[in-house]
Amino acid sequence: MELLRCSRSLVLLAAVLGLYAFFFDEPSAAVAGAGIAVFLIARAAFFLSAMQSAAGSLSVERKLSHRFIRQGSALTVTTSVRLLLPKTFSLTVSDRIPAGLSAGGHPHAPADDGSCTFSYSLTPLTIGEHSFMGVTLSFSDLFFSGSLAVAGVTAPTFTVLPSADYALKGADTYGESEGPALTPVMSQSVRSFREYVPGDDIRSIDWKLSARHDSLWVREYMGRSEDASLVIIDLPDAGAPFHPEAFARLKNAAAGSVAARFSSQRPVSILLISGPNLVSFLPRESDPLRLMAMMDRLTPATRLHHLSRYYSTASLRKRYHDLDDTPFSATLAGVTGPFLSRRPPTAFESGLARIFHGLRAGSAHLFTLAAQDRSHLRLIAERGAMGSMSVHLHVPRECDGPLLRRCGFSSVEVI
Amino acid sequence: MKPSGRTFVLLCAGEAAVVLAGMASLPAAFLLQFLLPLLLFRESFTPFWTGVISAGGYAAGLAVIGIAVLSSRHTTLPLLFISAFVVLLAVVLLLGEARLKRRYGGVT
Repeated sequence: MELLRCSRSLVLLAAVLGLYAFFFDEPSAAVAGAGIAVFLIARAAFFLSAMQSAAGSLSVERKLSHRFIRQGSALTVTTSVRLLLPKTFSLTVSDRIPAGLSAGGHPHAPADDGSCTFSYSLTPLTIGEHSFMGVTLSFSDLFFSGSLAVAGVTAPTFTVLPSADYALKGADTYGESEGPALTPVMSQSVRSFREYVPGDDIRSIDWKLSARHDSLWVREYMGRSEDASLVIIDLPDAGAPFHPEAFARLKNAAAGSVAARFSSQRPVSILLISGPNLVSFLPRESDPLRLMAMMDRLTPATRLHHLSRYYSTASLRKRYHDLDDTPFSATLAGVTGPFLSRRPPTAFESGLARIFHGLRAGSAHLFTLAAQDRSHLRLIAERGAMGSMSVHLHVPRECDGPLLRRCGFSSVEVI
Repeated sequence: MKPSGRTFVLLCAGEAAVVLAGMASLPAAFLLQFLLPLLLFRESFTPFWTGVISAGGYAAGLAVIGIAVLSSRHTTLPLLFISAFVVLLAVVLLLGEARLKRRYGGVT
C-alpha cells in the first residue's frame, strides 16, 4: 500500500501540527494533527477491507483460441474479470502470463465498474504444458494505491508443441534423423491422422478427411527412427579432490565408446559438463580430428554453479500429486502448487532442454565419476525420459552404482 | 478522483480554524476536526453505509485522542501516547496487508 499525493500532504500537515503542539504546548494543534493521522488510518483500514472484499469476489474467465499450439505461433487470450468494487475505487486488472512467454498487446485493462474484458496474444517459445499465474489487481483511491497478486485463478492450461515434429533430411543409410518421408506413394507412409494444430504444415492437411469431419485433419507420416547417440562426459570439479585412476579409466571408456560409434559411421554428439555446468557441446561431429582433440582435452573443470539435492519442478509436482487423499496431503499440495507454478528452471535445465530437443538422439551415454552431488545426473535422466531417450550410465567401480540405479537410468555399467 | 490544490488549501485553513477554536474551546475543536475531513473529502465517504462506518471509526479514534489530551495539563505525554497509538495502528494495517497478500498470492 502506497501513499498518494493527497495522503502524503496530509501526513506532512499532521507532522507540522504535531511539532507545533509539542513546541508551543498547544492541545488544539495536537487534536488537529492527531485527527488527520487517525483519519488517514481509518481510510487505510477501509482501503484494505475493500481490497479483501474485491479479491474474495473475484471471478476470472479466460478463453483461448487454441488449447494446443505450435512453438512460436500466436495464441489469442480473452480474459473476463468480475468482482465487487466500491465506487470510489479505481482498479486495473493485469493477467499474469506464464513464465517464458512474450505477450503482444496489453494484458491489462481498467475495471472501475467491477468488470472488464481484454484480449491479447501470447507467443510461446517454450514447449510443454503452461498455465497462467493468476491476475494482479491494482487498486487506487483518493489516498492510497496498492496491488494484490491473486494466484488461484490459473485455468485454463494450454500445451505448446515443438515447432517441427520432424527433423530434417539425412542419409537414411546411417539413420541420421527422422525424415518427413514425402515419397510418391504417400498412402503407404501415413502413420496416423490427427486434428490440425496451428503451425502445422498445410501441405499435410488431408482434405478428404477434413471435408468428411468438417474440421481440419492432418496426416502424420511414417519416418525412419534414428540411431544417433549422445555421449555426455561429466568432468570432475577442479576445486575438489577426485580419484585420478578412476577418471583415467572413465576417459578411456568414453573415448572407446566415441570411437566405436564413429567407426560404425553412426552420428555422435559430445556434451561436456562439469556438475550442473555446461562446458562445451559438439553436435553431430563428423571430423575425427576434432573428436580426438576434444577427447584429449578432458581435464577437471572449474565449477561455477553447484546443486545440492535439487529436484526438477516436474518431479516435485509428481511427488506432491501422487499423495493420498488425506487433508494433510491436500494442504501440502495447496501450499506447494503456487510455488511450483512460479519456479523457474535452472540454467543447466534450460541448456539441457535446448540440447536434447535439438538433437533428437535415440540414446545417450553418460560417463561420470558421480563423486559429489548427483542432482545433475537425475536431471539428465529425467530429460532423457521426457524425450523418450534411453540414457545409459557409465561409472567407475569406486562409486555407489546401486544407489544410482534409482535415478531413472536405462542401465548402469560399472567400468 | 484526484483532490485539487484547492482542497488542500481548504484543509490547511480548516486546521488553522481548529487550532484557533481549540484556544477558546476544546470541544469545539473536536467537533470541527470531526467535520472537516467529512466535508472536504465527502466523496470518499460514499456509499452511505461505508461512509457511516468510516466516520464511526474516525470518531472513535478522535475520542481516544480526546481522552489523551484532556487527561494531561501538557501536550507532551498525550502526543507521545497518540504517536504510539498511530504507530500501533499503522503496524496492524501493515500486518493485515501482508496477511492479505499471503492469503491470495499463495506465498508460504
